[in-house]
Amino acid sequence: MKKKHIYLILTTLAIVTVLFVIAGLVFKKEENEKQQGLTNQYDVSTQGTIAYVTHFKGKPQLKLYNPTLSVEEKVLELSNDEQILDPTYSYNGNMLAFIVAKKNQEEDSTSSIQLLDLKSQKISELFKADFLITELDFTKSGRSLFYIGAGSFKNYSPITGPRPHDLDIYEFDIEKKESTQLTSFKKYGLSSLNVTTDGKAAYYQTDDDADAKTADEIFETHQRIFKVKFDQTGIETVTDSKRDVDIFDFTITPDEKTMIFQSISNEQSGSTYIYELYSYDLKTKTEKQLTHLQEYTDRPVISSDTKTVYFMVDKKFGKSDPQYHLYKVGIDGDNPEEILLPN
Amino acid sequence: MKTAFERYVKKIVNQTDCTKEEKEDMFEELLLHLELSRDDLIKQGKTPKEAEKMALILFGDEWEIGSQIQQAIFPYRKELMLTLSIVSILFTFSVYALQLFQEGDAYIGWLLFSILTSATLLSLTLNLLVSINRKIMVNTVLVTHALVYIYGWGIASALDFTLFPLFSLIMAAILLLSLYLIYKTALVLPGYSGKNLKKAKLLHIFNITLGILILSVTLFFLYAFLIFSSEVQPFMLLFFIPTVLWISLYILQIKLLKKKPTASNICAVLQVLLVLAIIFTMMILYR
Repeated sequence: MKKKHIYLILTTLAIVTVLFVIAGLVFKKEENEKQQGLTNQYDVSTQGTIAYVTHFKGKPQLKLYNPTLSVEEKVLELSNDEQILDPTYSYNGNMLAFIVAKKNQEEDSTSSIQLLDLKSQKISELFKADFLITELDFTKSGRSLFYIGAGSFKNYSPITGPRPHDLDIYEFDIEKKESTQLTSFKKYGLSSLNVTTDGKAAYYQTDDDADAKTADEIFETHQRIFKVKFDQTGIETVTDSKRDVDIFDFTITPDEKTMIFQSISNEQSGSTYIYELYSYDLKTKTEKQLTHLQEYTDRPVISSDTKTVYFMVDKKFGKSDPQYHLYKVGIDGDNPEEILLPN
Repeated sequence: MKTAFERYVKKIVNQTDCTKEEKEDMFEELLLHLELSRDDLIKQGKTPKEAEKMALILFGDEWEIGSQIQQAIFPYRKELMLTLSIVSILFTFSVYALQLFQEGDAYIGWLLFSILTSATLLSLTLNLLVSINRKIMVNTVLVTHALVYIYGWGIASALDFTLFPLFSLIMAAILLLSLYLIYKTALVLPGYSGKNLKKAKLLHIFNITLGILILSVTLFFLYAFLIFSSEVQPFMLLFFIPTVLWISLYILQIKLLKKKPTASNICAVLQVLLVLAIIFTMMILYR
C-alpha cells in the first residue's frame, strides 16, 4: 500500500477519534444527571395511596398515586444533587415524612426531615440533622417519628471508601421538636426500622455479631432480625438464630404476628443470587416462601388491612443500573401482579 | 555516508520484525548478494555505476521484497495484524459511542489509548514505522494493546446486558489474537538454529506464559482492591513489583542465552522462585 494511502487512513482515524472526543465532551452526563425512572423508595398509606420517588434527568421527584381516589400528582421536585429517601406515611395516612439528603454524602452528610401534610398539601421541614438519616418510622399516635441515624460517615479502613456507620435508633418528638438517642449500638449496618405501635420497642435488621470477637467469627455472622425494647430491658433475636441464609429487608404487621422478609432463595446454586420474599409467623416460628418470581424482590410493605404485600422488583439486578417495578401479592402469596406507576 | 546498496537493503531489513542481531545478519547477507550481482554485471561489460543501478533493478522493489521476507518469516502476520487493528478500532468506537449515548459516560482516556495502540499496530503492519519495527517493539505494543482492551472489556460490561455477550465474544477474539501474535512474534527466531533455536523457543514460551500468569494475578489483586477503595492509591504500585522483576529476568535470560547459557538458566530458576513466592504470599494472605 502506498504511503499516501496509509497517511490518509491514519488521518481519517484521527479525525473520527477527535469527533468522538468532542461528542464525549458535549454529551457526557454528570453522575447527578444520570438517574432516571422509579427508585425503590416508596410507601403505601391506609387509604391505598402510593407515595414513590422517581428520577427525571437525575432530579428526584416525589409523587402520589391512587387510581381509586383519582390521585396522580407530583408533590415535590428537587435539584439533581439531592435525593429523597424513605417516604413514610403516618398510621392514619394524613402525613408523609421523608428524608432529603445530598447525593454526595461524603461532601455533605446532613439530612433534612420533611413532612407533607396531605390535607393542606403543604411541605414543611420537621428538623435538620448534621448527620445522615437513613430511615424513618412513625408511631401509631403520630406524635413521634423514629429514625436511624449514622453517627459518622467516613472510611473505616484505609483501603475502603467512606460509608455511613455508627448507626443507632433515635426518636424525634414532633410536639417538643426534640431528638433523643434511644440506642448505643454504633452498628456498621442497621436497617428496616419497624417501631411497634406503642413506640416502646423496635424491630430492625443487623448482623448477629454480639458474640463475634475474632475476624473468622465476624466473617461467619449472619444478618437477622432483632427486637430492642427502649426501656433498656434487652435485645432479642426474632428470627431463627440457626437460619444459615441471611435475612435482609423486612416489614411486620402492626399486630406483630407476621413478618415479611427478604432473603436469598438460591444461595448454594453458585449463580446470580435470587432474592425472594418470605412470610414468617412469629408465634409458630415457621416461614413460607411468599414470592417465586426468580428476581430481586425488595422493600416489602404490608397494607393497613394486612391482606396485601407490596414490594419492588429490580429487573436488572446483577446486570446494570437498577430498574424497579412495583408489585403486589396477597399475604398468602396469591396473585402477584405489577402495579404500573405513572412516570 | 551510506551507499545506495546499504540504503536499499536497510529499507528491506527494517520491514521485518527481527531483533537487531537478526537484522544485522540479514543486512550482511542481502548486501553480499547485491554486490555479487553488481560484480557479475561489471564482468559482463557494464560500468560500475550502470551495474549498481542494474543490480538494484534486478533485485526488485525494496518494499515488495521486505514484505515478502516478512511473510516468509511469519506467514499471514500482516493479515492477522490488520484484522486485529481493524476489529479493535471498530470495538473501541462501538463501546465508546454506546457508553456515551446509553449511559452518558465519556471514556475519553480509554478511547485515545486504545485508538493509539490500534493505530500503532496498523502503522507497524503497513510498514509505516519501519525504524521501530522490531520484535520487542511489536510485542510491547501487543501487550499494551491487550491490557488496554481488557480495561475496555470492563467498560463494555457496564453496557446494556443484552449486548454484553456479543462484546465479550469480540473481546475474547481480540485477546486470543493478541496472545497468538505475541507468542508467534517471539518465536520467530531466524538468528537461531539447531539446539539453540529449540532452547530459545522454550525460553520464550516459558517467559511469556509466566508473564501472562503474573500479570493476571497482579490485575486481579488490583481490581479487588479497587472494588473496596474509592480511589487509586500510590501503594498499589507495589503490586507491579513481580511484573518488573519478571521483565528484568526475561531480558537477562535472552541476553545471556547465547554467550552464558548457565547464567540464563539461573535467571529462569529465579523466575520460578518468584512465582512460588507469589503463591506462598497469596496462601498466607488467604489464611
